[in-house]
Amino acid sequence: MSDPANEKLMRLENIQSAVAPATNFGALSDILRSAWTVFRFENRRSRTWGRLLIWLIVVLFPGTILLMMRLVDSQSPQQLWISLLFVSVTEMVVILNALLWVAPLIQTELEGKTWLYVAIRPFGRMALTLGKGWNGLSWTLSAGLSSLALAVVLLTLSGVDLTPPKPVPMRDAVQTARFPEPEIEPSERSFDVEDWPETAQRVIVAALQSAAALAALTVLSTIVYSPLFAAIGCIAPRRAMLIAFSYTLIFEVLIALIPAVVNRITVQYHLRCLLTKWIDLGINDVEGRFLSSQSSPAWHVGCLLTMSLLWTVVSLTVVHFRTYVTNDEA
Amino acid sequence: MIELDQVTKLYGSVIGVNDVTLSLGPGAHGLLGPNGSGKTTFLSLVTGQLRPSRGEIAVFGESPWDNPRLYRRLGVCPGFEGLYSDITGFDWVRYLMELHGYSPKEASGRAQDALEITGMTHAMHRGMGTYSRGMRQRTKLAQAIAHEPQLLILDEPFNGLDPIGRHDITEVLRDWVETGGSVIIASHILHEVETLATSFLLICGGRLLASGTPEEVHSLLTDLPNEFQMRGRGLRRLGQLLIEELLVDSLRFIGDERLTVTTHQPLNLINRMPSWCGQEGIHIAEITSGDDSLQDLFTTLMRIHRGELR
Repeated sequence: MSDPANEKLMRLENIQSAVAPATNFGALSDILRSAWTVFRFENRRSRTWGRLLIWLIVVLFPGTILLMMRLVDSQSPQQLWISLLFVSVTEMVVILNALLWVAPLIQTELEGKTWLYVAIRPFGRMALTLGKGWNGLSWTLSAGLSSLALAVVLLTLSGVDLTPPKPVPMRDAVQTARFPEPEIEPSERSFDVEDWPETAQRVIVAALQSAAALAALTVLSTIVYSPLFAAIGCIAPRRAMLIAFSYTLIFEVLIALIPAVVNRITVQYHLRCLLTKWIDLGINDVEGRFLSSQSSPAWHVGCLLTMSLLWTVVSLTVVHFRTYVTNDEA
Repeated sequence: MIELDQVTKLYGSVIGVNDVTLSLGPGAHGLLGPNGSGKTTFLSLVTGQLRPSRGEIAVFGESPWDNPRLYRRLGVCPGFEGLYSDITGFDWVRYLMELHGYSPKEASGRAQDALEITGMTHAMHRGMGTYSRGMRQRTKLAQAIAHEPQLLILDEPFNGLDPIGRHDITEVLRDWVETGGSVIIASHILHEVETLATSFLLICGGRLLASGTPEEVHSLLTDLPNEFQMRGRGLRRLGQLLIEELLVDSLRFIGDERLTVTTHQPLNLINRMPSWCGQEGIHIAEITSGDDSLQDLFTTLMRIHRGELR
C-alpha cells in the first residue's frame, strides 16, 4: 500500500525534474505569445452578461438617437446625417468604449489584487498591458462597427440618403484615397416603390460606400484611442478613467477645434480631415486648419498610426519601469 | 541565493525596510515579524515588485526588477486575497502556466498536478468565488509551485487554513524542501514556521533584528536577560532573597502566588533555587522560563528593540 506522503514527494520530484524553460523564442515572440494568452483569458473573462448588456446599450445608442431625430426631421441635408454618424460612432462610441474597457486595465488588476500574479511571470507586465489593451480594443472595435452598421441600416430604412451631397466624378482613388462616390441624380435620392430595385440598389450602394468610409474612420479611431487610453491607464492607474475623460474633453474636444497648429496633435483633427477627404461633405474650411488640410489622406493615416505606435511604446515603457502597489500595500 | 546590501525602502516618509544587509543561501528560511513590520515590503523587494530607495538587491545574482529569466525560477504566493471569482482554479493556474511559456497541453498538466499536490483536485473546476479561504490559499500555493521554481516565496501561507489544512500545506512544503527546493516563508505566527525553517530572519519596524540558524541567534542571547515565571507559596520571601543575592534585574508580583523574574544570571538563579525551596516557607509549584522555542527568542528581541529590555 502506497504512502500518500511518498506519492506527493514523487509528484514533486517529477515536476522538479522537468525542463524549466518552456521556450527558446526571442523576447519579442515571448511577449507577443504571452500577450495573446492574456488576450484570450481576458476576452473569455470579459464575456459576462453585465458587460454584454453595457456593450449592447452603447451599440444601440447612436442608431436609436439618430432614428428618433429622423422621425421628427425629414428635411436635413445628407451631410448632417453623415456628420452625426461620425460624431456618434467614430467619436462617442469609440471613446466611451475605450474609456470603459481600456483605460482601467491596470487599475482593475490593482484593485482586484491580481496584479502580482501576472507581474511575476516572464514579461508579465508587458503581456498584461498588451493583452488587456487588445481585449479592450476588440470590444471597442466591435461596438463601433456594430453601432455604425445598425445606425446606417436604420437611417437607410427610414429613407435617409447617405450619399455625399456634392457628387463628384470619381477621381484617381490611389492619388486622393477618396472613396468612390456614386453618381446619383437628385431625383433619385428618394425613390418610389415602383423604381425598385434599380434606384434602391444605387442608394443602398451609396450608403454602403459612405458607411465604408465611416467604418475605416472607426477602425482608425479605435486603434489610436485604445493605446492612448492604455497609456493613461499605465501612467495614472488610480485615476485612469477620470484623467482619460479630462484628456478627451481638453484635447479631443477643445484643442481639436482650435484652428491652429496645436490641433494637429489631436486624434480628432486627423479623423475629421480624413472624413472630409473621404466623403465630400461640401464644407468650406477657411485656410484648412479646422476640418481639412492640404496633406494627403495617407499622411493623416500615417500620423494616426504613428500616434498609436507611440502610445503603445509609452505604455510598455511606463509599465516596465513603474512601481505598482495593490490597495493593501498602498 | 539572495543578497541585500544596505537596502532601504521608503514610502514617502514611512520606512518599509530600513538598511537591511543580508545574504541567504538555499534552504528554508522563515521571515518573522509582527503585522506591519516590513515582511511584505521585504518580499516585494526580493520579487522585484518594489525598487529599493537605497542599496542593492540580487536574487540568483540578478536584479529582480521585471527580470523574465529570474521569474522563471521564482514562485510567489502573496499574502493578500485576490483571485478572479468567475474563473475556475484550474483555468487560472493553467493560464499562469501558459504565461510561463508552456503549451496549453503542458500548462494543463502542470496545473492539474499542482492542484492535486495542494489537495484541490476535487474543487479545481469550480469558480474561485465559491472557494473557502483555505481553498484559496491552496490554489494560490498551486500557482506558485506549478512551474517548479527553485525559490518559493510565501507570504503568510497558513492564513485562513484550518488545522488539517495547515498540516497538509506544511507537509507539501516539507516535501518541497526535501526535494531540494528553497523557500522563504513570511509569517507573524512562529510555530507555523518553526517546523519548516532551518534559518530565520526576524524583522520589526523594517529593521532586521536577527538572522541565522536558531542556534546562531540563540548564541546571541547569552548576554540577554531571561525571564522566569514562578507559581507557588512564599514568593515574596524568594524575591527578597533574589534581591539580596543581586541575582535579578526586576521582579513583578501578581498576587502572592505568581512572580515574574528578569535576570542576566539564569544559571546562578537556577542553581540557587533548590537550596531555597523548602526553606523559609518557599514552595515552588511551577517554574517556566525562556526555552528554545522561537517564540521566546522573538519576544525577547522585540522587547529589546522596543527598549523594554536592555
